[in-house]
Amino acid sequence: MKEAAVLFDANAPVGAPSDLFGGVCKACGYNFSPMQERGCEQCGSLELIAQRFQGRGRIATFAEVYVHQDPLLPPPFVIASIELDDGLAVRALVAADAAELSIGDLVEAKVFFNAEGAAPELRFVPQVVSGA
Amino acid sequence: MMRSLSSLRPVYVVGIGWHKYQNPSPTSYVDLGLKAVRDALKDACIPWSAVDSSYLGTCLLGMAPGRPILRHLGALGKPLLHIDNASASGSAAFRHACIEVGAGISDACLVLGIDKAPSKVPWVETGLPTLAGNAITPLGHFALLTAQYQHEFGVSNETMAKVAVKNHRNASKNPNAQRQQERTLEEILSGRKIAGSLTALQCTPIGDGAAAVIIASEDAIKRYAIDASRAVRVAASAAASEMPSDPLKADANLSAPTIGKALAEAGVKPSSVDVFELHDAFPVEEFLYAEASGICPPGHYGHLLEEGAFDIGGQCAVSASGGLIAMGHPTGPTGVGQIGELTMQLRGEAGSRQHKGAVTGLAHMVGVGAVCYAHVLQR
Repeated sequence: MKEAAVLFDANAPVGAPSDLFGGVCKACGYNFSPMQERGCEQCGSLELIAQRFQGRGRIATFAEVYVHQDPLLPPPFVIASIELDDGLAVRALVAADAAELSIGDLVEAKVFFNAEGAAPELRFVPQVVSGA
Repeated sequence: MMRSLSSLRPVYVVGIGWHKYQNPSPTSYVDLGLKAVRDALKDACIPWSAVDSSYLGTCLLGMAPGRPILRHLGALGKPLLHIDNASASGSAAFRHACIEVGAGISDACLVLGIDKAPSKVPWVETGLPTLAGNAITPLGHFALLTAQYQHEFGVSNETMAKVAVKNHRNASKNPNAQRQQERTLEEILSGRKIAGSLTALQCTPIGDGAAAVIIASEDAIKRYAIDASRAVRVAASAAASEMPSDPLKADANLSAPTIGKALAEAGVKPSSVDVFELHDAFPVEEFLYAEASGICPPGHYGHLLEEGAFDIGGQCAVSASGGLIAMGHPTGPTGVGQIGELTMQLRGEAGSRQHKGAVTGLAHMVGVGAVCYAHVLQR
């Protein structure tokens, strides 16, 4: 979760909803995240413009991970592929109980701190449906 | 004008050999490699001096590991090329050796796949972070694909796991397989949970091994009096790399056109494939790539699997070797071993794993979802 600043607003308060930082290619319209200036992955153009994407979408698929080597990320944890409302597909951690998730659930991105002193992270959580 | 392998002079597999795939061991990679190469030379009945050029597929052993292996056969000063293309390293080495023989630059080439399981795979950062960081490993990636496939087509955990039952059964008859024990559905489902519905026996093991093949032109077959009745034609070779795609579709989207191109080059319909070795590191991959090949429509692999269509003796023997799940996936050797398995099947020499009457074989590998290879072999 290094270089959080190019992925989302790392100065946002913990628990705040967050946009995702990315870009759009002026030449072909390809959307991507994080922002980069190395060249469009679809057409190679260098005309890349920074763009924010709403951190809201639906779970395309998810899985609970039970075995993981990194001691800084002890299992179990939940990973997912999320289709953002803005059309981009991203992969991220989901801060929720896997047993309570379903494919198609609406989720939103929020800023987390995994540990004191650690860099902020972005995780998705189930959207709270008003009136529910 | 671009040309295909099939438009060049014919290339044949004339020798195959392995060092058994095995759990991480103290055996030196030199000894692994020498066993496979000597067996392949013996199978072809040719001397080492007949090999004009060597290709070595590897990605976990560091710089130029072929030198300390091949010098023990006699350092004859002939060309040696190392190819790293992730899981598809061996397949890439095979393709380029075939091109060399097909083009007439060499008459006989060795292709050796070799690797040993590392304690840790070196990974250099690209400088671009991702939201998930290191949370999504290949295990997680394929757990995500498994859940998505199950959701889309209404396939149960039990049906998915039957790929592992089949492949462990096939590998139990393969002396070169890393896992040689038949497993029940209950054993597979009750194993250690890894990610999502994946259990340990549904995941390819980490291991050591080596596989070698000798390929030759018709000139070499005549010159060295190689038994032409055991020579298997390499009818097509196709390769591709990734295009922008939803990561959930990328592996299948890369595989479909690559396999399609190889089948078209060979003039073979998917329904004519008798034996199919594919990159089945996890059950969902067998579903996705088999469907991408056209041997069955999307969403139909599960029920056909349960009917035995993909068993040895069925419509098409898929992963007759045991596949990556049970034969193993020592990385560099895997794609070369697939060619060896197809050759054995097409010669009718696969013993208790023999798919009777096999005429056409298809091999498929992907490398970290970024590269893909497909080869068609025919008797």
